[in-house]
Amino acid sequence: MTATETHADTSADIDDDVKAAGDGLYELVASNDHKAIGRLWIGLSVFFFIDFAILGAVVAMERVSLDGFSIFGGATGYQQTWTLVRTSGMFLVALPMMIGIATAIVPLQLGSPSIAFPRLAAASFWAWLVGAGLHVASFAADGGLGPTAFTRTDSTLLTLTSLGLMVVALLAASICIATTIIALRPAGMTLLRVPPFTWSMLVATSVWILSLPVLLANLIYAWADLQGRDPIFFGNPDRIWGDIEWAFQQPQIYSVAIPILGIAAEITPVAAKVRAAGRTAVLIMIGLFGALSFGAWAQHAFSRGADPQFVDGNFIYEEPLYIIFGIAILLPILGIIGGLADTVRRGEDLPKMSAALAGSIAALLMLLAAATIGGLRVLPFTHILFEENSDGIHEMLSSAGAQYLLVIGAVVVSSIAALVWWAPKLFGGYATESLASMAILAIFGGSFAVGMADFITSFIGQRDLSISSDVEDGVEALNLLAMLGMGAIAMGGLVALVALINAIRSDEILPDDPFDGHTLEWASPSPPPIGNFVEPIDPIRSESPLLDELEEVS
Amino acid sequence: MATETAVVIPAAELTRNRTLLVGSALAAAASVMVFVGLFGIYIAIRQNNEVLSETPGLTGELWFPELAVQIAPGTMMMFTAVMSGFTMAWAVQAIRNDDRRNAYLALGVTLLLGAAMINQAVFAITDFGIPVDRSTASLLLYTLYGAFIVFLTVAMAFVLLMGIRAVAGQFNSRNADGIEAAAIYWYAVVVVYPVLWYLISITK
Repeated sequence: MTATETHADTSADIDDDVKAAGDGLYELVASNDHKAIGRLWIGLSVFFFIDFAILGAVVAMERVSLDGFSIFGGATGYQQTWTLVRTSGMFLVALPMMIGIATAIVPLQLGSPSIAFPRLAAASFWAWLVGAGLHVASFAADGGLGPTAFTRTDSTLLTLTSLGLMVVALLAASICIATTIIALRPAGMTLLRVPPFTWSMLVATSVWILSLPVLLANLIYAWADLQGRDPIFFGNPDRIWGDIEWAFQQPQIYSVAIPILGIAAEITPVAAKVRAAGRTAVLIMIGLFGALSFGAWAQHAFSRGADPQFVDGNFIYEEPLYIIFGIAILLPILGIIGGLADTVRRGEDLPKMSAALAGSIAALLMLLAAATIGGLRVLPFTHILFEENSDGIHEMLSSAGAQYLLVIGAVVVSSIAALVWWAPKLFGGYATESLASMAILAIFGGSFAVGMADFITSFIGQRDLSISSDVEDGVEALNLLAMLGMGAIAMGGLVALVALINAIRSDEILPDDPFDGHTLEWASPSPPPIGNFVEPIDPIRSESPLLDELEEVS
Repeated sequence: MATETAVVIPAAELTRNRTLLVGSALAAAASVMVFVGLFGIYIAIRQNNEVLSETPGLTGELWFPELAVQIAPGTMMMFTAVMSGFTMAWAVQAIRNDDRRNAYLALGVTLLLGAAMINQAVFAITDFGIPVDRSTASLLLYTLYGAFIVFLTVAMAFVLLMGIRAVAGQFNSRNADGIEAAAIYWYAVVVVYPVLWYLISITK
């Protein structure tokens, strides 16, 4: 099967064309089995997550004393590392983690023998890995994106190129996932019958496919402006980060959190041993959340921005649409929490609090907290408060704080919950429950400490991108709290890694459906073979085919 | 006495998943969004420049100098783009009718028109009476044309690949997915050009 396959996918085709991931390195590298590709995405994003947390801790450590640069030696090194932490949190950790889980799980949930375009899916992983490697290398070679963050134009070009390569690779992977959901569903599985996680990935990949290309447009302009001469406009050191920062701020940053809603809606009914209540409403809410997280329009280029040369229109924080999006995003989150609470209420007993359930709920609550703070960020009343403490440049609450809460506290915690939940299908064993719980607690607590410390310090005068002793008392103590939080996040990442390695090393024979799951992935063996299912999938009659069988038997 | 006759029910046609069509449509959407971003930023900066020019104490730059952008090359390219859209549709219809000779001819003409568009774009770029490093406007101008050439090249590669597969006998009236997928991507790239033409050649 090629990226341009045109005939029907049948199990026989899959067996012929999809190469398995064997034990050897060559087999792993050469495989285009979606589960192996998914594991590669997941493994590398966990690796980058631990690196990200260590780097974040070093950045926070630099801020513990505001008298000068003791670790980085100057503003350049500090801003380079700061922007690396920001970009890697999104493009080396959160997005690839979710894409990895979806690449492995979505075809199983759909009863499909493979992902659409398996070779393109494999190529997108390797292209992303090359991009990620070049991205880190560009910073090591004095590249970067901040106002004083680059001294070498060629290294900054490499930073832009690597970011562009990662965006293209993530888009290709998103296209594979979305195509699988749209075109490879079995008979009877309408779009409203797909499992919540798969639905959330359809919404998420749709938003990414429509928004990430706009980021690519920003990168193209900056890249073109740095070709062999002094920059004119887009390549100016104090412009590049500002032009792409929308991808790391609300509302766009919420797009990476869309799968969190699907994961919670997936795990909760199974844990409560009851059919999901208000399922269609939950799917609509996930769609609404996705629509409100489309943020390519909310960038400096389309508003007045911080550039004094830009005199047309309003600042982005003053745009009515920006304010409406910032507040309205709370509605679908609250709606989904309400729907899941109703599901739990309908169960006979309270569900057993497993690591997966705890993680998915914690992620949902963190998302609610981040969105609430995001709402405060755009409210005109609070806007005035924060303006008094800024330089009048309308950079009020820390956008880095929002990223820590959302990307780490919500997305990574939710990812760990998903990995623990689907460990039998992903790794062929159970993740160690106690270690997974510890990891979730450490990352949840750590990200809350970092995020809130960053928010509070920005409220009392500390800016995201700079270090200044001209801020109020108490900032250094909060920066120390942020450093400890980043340390906890790094430790949590290591503990999660051990819990997952235990699942990989387990030689226990697992049942197909250890949790009495509702959806089709639990009809495949644990771990699933090439082609995923040993028996043909019957036409689907409801959104919970395995629960139907269970109820018929009982 | 009634005569019993056996009713022969034709076998159900194997349903195709149309993954290639869906994937190509998504890729086309992503490509169009790149240009939505490029055009949006162009329009925003140009609008800001006009406001700057009318604001006391601030000065906007002259967007394009007089006669720097000629209308003829861009308009010729516009006509070529429209023609290539028709030839691509011709290829799709021909393969749907199992008219392979016309399909090959239409794909070949489409590729030729694509090459002509690249030639015209390169001519337009060399003909601009404005150096790339003169101003923000010139940077935007060259970047837009460069990006269009890149995406047009990708579309041509897609058509070429599907053309080779058609010549190898892959597509026919029951399965024209490959040619249709290439057509979707081609239309997306071709649809982008009129906007570029309007922004650069018409409004200047």
